[in-house]
Amino acid sequence: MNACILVPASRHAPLDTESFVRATGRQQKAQDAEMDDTNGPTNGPVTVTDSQLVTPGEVLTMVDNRLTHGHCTRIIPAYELSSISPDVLTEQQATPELLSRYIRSTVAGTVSRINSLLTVVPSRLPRYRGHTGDVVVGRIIAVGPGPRWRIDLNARCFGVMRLSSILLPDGVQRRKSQDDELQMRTYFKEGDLFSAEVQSIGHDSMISVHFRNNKFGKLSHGTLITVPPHLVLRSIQFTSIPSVPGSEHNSGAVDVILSLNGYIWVAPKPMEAGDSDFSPAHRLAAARVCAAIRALASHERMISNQSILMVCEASASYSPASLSRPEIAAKVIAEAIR
Amino acid sequence: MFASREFVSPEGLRLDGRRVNELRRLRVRSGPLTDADGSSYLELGNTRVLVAVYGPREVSSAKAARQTTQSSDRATVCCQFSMATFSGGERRRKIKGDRRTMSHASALEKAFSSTIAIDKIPPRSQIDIFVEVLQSDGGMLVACINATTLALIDAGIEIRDYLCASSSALLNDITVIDPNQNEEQSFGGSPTATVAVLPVTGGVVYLDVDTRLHIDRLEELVNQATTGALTIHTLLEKVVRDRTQSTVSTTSAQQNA
Repeated sequence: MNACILVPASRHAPLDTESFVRATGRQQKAQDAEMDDTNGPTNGPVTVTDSQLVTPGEVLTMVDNRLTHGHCTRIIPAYELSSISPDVLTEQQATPELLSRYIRSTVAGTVSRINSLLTVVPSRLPRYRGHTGDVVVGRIIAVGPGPRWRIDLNARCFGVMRLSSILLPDGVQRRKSQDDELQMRTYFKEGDLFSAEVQSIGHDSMISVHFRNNKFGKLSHGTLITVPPHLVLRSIQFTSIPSVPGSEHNSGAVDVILSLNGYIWVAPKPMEAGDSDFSPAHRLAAARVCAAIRALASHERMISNQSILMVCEASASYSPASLSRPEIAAKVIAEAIR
Repeated sequence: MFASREFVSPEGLRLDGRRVNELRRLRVRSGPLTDADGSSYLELGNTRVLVAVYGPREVSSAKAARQTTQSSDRATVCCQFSMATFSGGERRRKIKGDRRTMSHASALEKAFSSTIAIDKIPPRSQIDIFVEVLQSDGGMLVACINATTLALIDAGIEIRDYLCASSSALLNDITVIDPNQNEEQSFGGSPTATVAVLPVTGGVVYLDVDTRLHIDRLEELVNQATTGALTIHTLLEKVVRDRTQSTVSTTSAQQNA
């Protein structure tokens, strides 16, 4: 096994926090290190820079008191490395203790550094991790136990929505009584969709959400589209497209919630509040927005208000239904990007 | 019965034209399934496998729920291994749930439980791995392990290191690397070692020798398989790097725009 770290600790000068020492086990790097050695002491063989690509197991830097390491990085404890054969260790002048002094990546992605916090941002993230303040769309899984709902947020485990952190349909902020607890299923029942804001993330990654104002609440008369969360651009999340390009004039506005957990909600905007009667042209406009989002997701393109508009524009000569055909979607996306 | 010289010619070539230390052609595709969290398709010569990974997600299967109650502070890895009816030489009605597939499933489950950085995965969650063998021509578990590693990286699941596998067989005193089905089944089952290693951080996660073998020959067999696994690591790393590069360039270019 030649693929281990080849640089003994003594060759490293104290780590300059401006530069990360990178020492992967590639032979090339080993040669570099040898050359450094002959030219006198240096700050280390290679540096990882911000937004550099890394893959799992790759070394980011030596452990350093001035650096903290966050998401998707890991230090392998010495006991996990004890299974390496002693031959390999002597060959590389390394010990389990030495090997356990490197911060390594655990995913494929790019290096990110904010002050002294070193993290790796995964390039693909099929599960939502949650950030406080994000607008999310979710689905009710169960009512209870207790005054709370269990919710699906496309995250790594089910989230929770407390009765005390929602606004009741009358929109009045008030204390929730025992009666409200008994009527929980009339507010939200299993399968209902809602939009909410992430309130906090528990130590076990459980996300809890709340309604901050009356923009949040139950969703109806629309379409839910599931996309990988990393494709949703972090920008204004409640958007409205006043007139969808490529559809009939004056067909009506379409509301889009670009939820950061990848559950995108598309609904035709009612002419008057509470109206649920939409014209066929209005529905077709919403269908075109849905088709545009699906086309963007299937080609791994970022989804934002702007990119949806661009795809709708480029798809003007096709019907919304025909956009589901891969060859037409590819053509439209290519044109929109251009 | 074949003589050994028929498996390796005097010129040092095997029946399929490879040298003794040559791997079969490896072709991989990361992310062929759009509905899975992560997926991969891998061809090792004529062995073809398709892997889908889901999770970490809320515990749903009964088996995972049982394991979760036993150790509530850990995530659970569940693996389902199945072979297509048309995967082997002769058509079989159902290749699922028999002893061999169950043992492959549990081998994958154990190997990946110790490869996934389980301390980074939320407790009481579940990672599902679905492996489907489309065509089998020897080195089935090797192909499955390599494909699953790729699918896990595609799913963005935190892992300690790549898990790379390879195998080697002893054909009448000659060690050959990455045997195909013909070579594996020669002499009524020649000794075959399957090894899975963590190439960057070191360590053997899985080692299996499936027939009786003299202890003196074990080291050579394992060393050959390890060399093969390290070669596969460089190939897989290139695939991952290219895919990460393309994802980053399409997503970040528009983020700045």
